[in-house]
Parts: sequence; structure tokens; C-alpha cells
Amino acid sequence: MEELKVENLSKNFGGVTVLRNISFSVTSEERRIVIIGPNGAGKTTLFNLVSGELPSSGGSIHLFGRDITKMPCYRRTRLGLARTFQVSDLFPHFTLMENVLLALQAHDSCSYQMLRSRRAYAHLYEKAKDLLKELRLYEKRDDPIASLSHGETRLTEIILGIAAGPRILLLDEPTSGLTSSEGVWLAELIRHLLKDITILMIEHDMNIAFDFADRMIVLHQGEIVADGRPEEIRANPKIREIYLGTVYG
Amino acid sequence: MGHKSLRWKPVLAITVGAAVALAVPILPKYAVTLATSIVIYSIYVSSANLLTGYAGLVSLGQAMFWGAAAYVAAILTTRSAVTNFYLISFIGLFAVMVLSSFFGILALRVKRLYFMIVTFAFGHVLWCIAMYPMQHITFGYDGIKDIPRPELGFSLSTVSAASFYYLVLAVAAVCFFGVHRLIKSPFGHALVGIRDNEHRMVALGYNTFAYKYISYILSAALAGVSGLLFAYFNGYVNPAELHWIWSGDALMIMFIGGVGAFWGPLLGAIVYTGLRYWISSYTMYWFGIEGIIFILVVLFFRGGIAGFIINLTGKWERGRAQS
Repeated sequence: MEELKVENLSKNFGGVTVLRNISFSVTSEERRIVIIGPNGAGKTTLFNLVSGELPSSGGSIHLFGRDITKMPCYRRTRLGLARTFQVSDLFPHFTLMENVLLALQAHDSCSYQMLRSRRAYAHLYEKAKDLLKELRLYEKRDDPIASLSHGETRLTEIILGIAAGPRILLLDEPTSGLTSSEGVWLAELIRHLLKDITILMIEHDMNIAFDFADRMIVLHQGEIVADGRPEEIRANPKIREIYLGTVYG
Repeated sequence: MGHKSLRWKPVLAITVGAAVALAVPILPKYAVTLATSIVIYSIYVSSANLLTGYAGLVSLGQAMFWGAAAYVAAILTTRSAVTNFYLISFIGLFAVMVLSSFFGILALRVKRLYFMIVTFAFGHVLWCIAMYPMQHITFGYDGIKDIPRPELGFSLSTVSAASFYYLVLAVAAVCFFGVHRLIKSPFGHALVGIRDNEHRMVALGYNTFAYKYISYILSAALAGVSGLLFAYFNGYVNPAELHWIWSGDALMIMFIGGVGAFWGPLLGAIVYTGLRYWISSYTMYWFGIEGIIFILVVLFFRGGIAGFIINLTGKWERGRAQS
């Protein structure tokens, strides 16, 4: 089944074309799709269009068979699409636990409840506890976000992404700012933890990218220049030239 | 410093506060009147605090809801067959909520500074309407005089200062209880999330417009309650109640009390009303002094009085833990 289908998607900022005729589709057979490309290729913009944070300039997006091209961001989330951010984008005045609860509450029936204390919703606490334990952050649950280490905020970013139980998760450079060994550990954790959801991940570390991917999409100057299995991408001379060449020298 | 030592303090504070509030009518009449206005203002300022302190929406139009409800009460009690206090309150609140649900849809299309300017403009339009086109009903600058104190039924009259004070206190208790529940609820948690990081709230799947819209209407209703009480309290309503200066005062008192602090509006209203009463008896330049106080608070007590008290008790608590 086609979970996500992007057709002829484009985005202009004024006169600058950032994405041009992007088309690809994701089926439930491929769980791990990594998007690579040099800086400025339009990877994050692509995520912003798919998640609905930016309106597209042309083309269409279908999610689970529904046209979501004009659907507001929060409703796409309800359909089962979630994302994380390249720069951790959390709630600085809340504790870790409160951050997670806020994410869990978004799709719960209590999200508009005004007169009952949120402490009354024990099932959310239980879920939050499980998530925090799974990512080994439970000990820090009452710490303010500002006191967490960079790696811990990256993990929290992922918790907020998966809290609502999405079917497709867009991970925008989850390993950014981590050392390469931490990055490998995190990618392994994502693979292990999120077996059953489809992941589109932007990744700059080539080792992690090739290791993680079932399929890779290469963006360059706003266009898809290659789309295939990691072996094919590795063997593609054009890719080596425009992208890998600059990395491997 | 266990959980128990943290628990008894708010209980003690509320008990003492409630006892003081209930004992106010043993004071001379001018003090009862002063206390009544403090309580009414604190409801008004908490409406601004709900919107600004919790939802992060800075509005310069709170006075239009205060004023609109005050005018509804004034016009109906003095010039219509409807004199029942409960019915008038209902009509006043209903009017304010209709008004805010209309303005809210338009104003919340824009953000931050633009939101503030749009609410300011709406308020000003309403003020102009009350001043000129509706002059035959509102009497323009002269305002509406001789609004009688409400009859509550069950042969309860509020003609005496003490009885009216108790009415205001009871209404305020309900309002504050409601606001407290709200800020502790999932809805309140989401509002603060929107204040701190709306972009992320959208990505998490929140319909942030709906949250802001609902809080805007609730805040207007709260301002309406206070305006309604004020009309009966003052016995006189004029266009100043709709003026943007009074909207600005809501923000100023909120800053003095502590933005986003539950007790901030009450603390702010106590200091503001108390100082105004005291200083006005010496000089006519109260507005200037109010401005200076505001500047000092913003510069040196960023959390307002509430923040100052929290800091102080925190230090005391830490000092005790060390000894």
C-alpha cells in the first residue's frame, strides 16, 4: 500500500526555487528511507512541505490515499504523520515529563478538558513513563529541559515525535550535533524502537545513512537526482561526483 | 524539605487570605469600598493574565469586554423593563461572548504585535461607537448615572457596602476557582505550550487556533464579569470604561502583580488600588507615578510582586534547609 505519495511537488520562496518537481512514493514495504544531499539541497524544506508547516507552490501530497496538499499541519499529525526537528525544538519552561505529557495529550480525548487537573489522567503518565524508561531518560523526568545535555534533548525530540503513535515519522537529522559513536547508537536505537513505523530520515553522516537505509533519495539543488537501494546509490558515479566526492575526497 | 512542608503553606495562605477577605466589612466604609474595587479589578486583570500570561496573547482590547458588559448592565437597569440581576448578568456575558467570538476570529488571524494592534483598533472602534453613533443611548461623555445596586432575590439586598462586597467576593471566588482549574488542566497546559512554542504545538497535532480562540472568549467573559460588577459597584458608567487606557492598565497591573502567576492579578490590584488611593490624596499626578512604578517593576522585579514573593520564600526555604 502507498503510504505517502508526493507528485511534482515544488516550492518557491519569491523568485528562488527551492524544490522542483519532486515525485516519490513510499510503500509499507520500505520502512527506512534516508534522504541525503548537500547543504541547501532542500531536504528540510521537503519535510516542511510534507508535514504542512509550509504551503507548497505546486504539486500534490497524498497520505494513506488522502489528498493532504492543503490540509493544515495539525490535521496531518492526526492522520498519523509526525516529525522531529533538526534543531531541538522543545518547551524550555517545562520539565522533561511535562514535555512528554504535552505531546501525549495532543491526541488524547482530554486535550480540551478544562476543569479536571491533568494529574487525573493517569494513563498519560503511564505512557510517558514507559517512553522515558525506554529511552533511558526516566531518572531525568523532573529536570527542566534547559538542564539536559545535547544528546538528551535529541532523544527528547524523538520522544515528542513518536508520542502520538505516528505511522510515518519524519526525522530531520536526529543525530545532528552528536559524536559519531553517539550517532550510531541513536540510529540503532531508532531502528530497534521504531520497527513498525515508516521512517523518512535526513542524515548527513554517510556511515549512518548507508547503514540505516533500505532506500535512499538523493536531493541536489532542489531536485531528486537518484532514488534507489543503498548499493545502487553507492555505485552511482553521478552521486559520487556531486555529493559523496566532497565527503570522501 | 519534603512534600508535606510544601503543602501546608498554600493552605495556610489561602485560609488566612480568606479570613482577611471575609473580615474586611468590620473596617470603615471607605476601606470596604476600596476592597470591593480591588476584588473587581483582580477579576479584570486575571482575564488579561489568562490571555497574556498563559496563552501568550498580548491584547490591548480587554476594556472593550469590561466596558461592553458594564454598558449592558447600565442601559438595561436604568432604561428597560429588565431589572433582574441574574437575567442582566446573563445578557451581559452573552453579549460579551458574542462580541469576542466575532473579534477573536478576526484578531487571531494575525500574531504578536499585529494581534495587539488589531485588538487595540477593535477597542477603539467600540469606544467611538459608544461615544458618537450611540450617544442617544449611552449619553456620550456624560455616561449613564444612577445604576442601582442589584437585588439578589430571597430578599437579599446589596445596598450596603458590606453586602455588595460579599457579592463581589463570592463571584470572584468562583472566577478564581475556575481559572485555577483551567491552568492546572490539560487545556491550560496546552495554552502555556502555545505561549512558549506554538510552532512545535502545531507539529505535535494541536489545533492552536482553537485553543487561542477559546481562551480569548473565556478571557473576554471574565473581563465581562468584572465590568458588570463594576457598573453596579460604581453606579455610573462612562466611555472611559471602554477606552484603551483601561486596557493598558490591565496589562500594567498584571505586570506589577506578576505575569503568568495565578495570584499576580490580585497582588497587582491590591498594590495598584492601594497606591492610587494613598498617592491621590497627596497629588493629582497619579498617572505619572503609576508609570514610574511600572518602569521600576519591569526593570527590577521582572516576575512582579508574585515573582518577588516566590523568590523570597524560595530563599527562606533554602536557608532553612541549610541550617
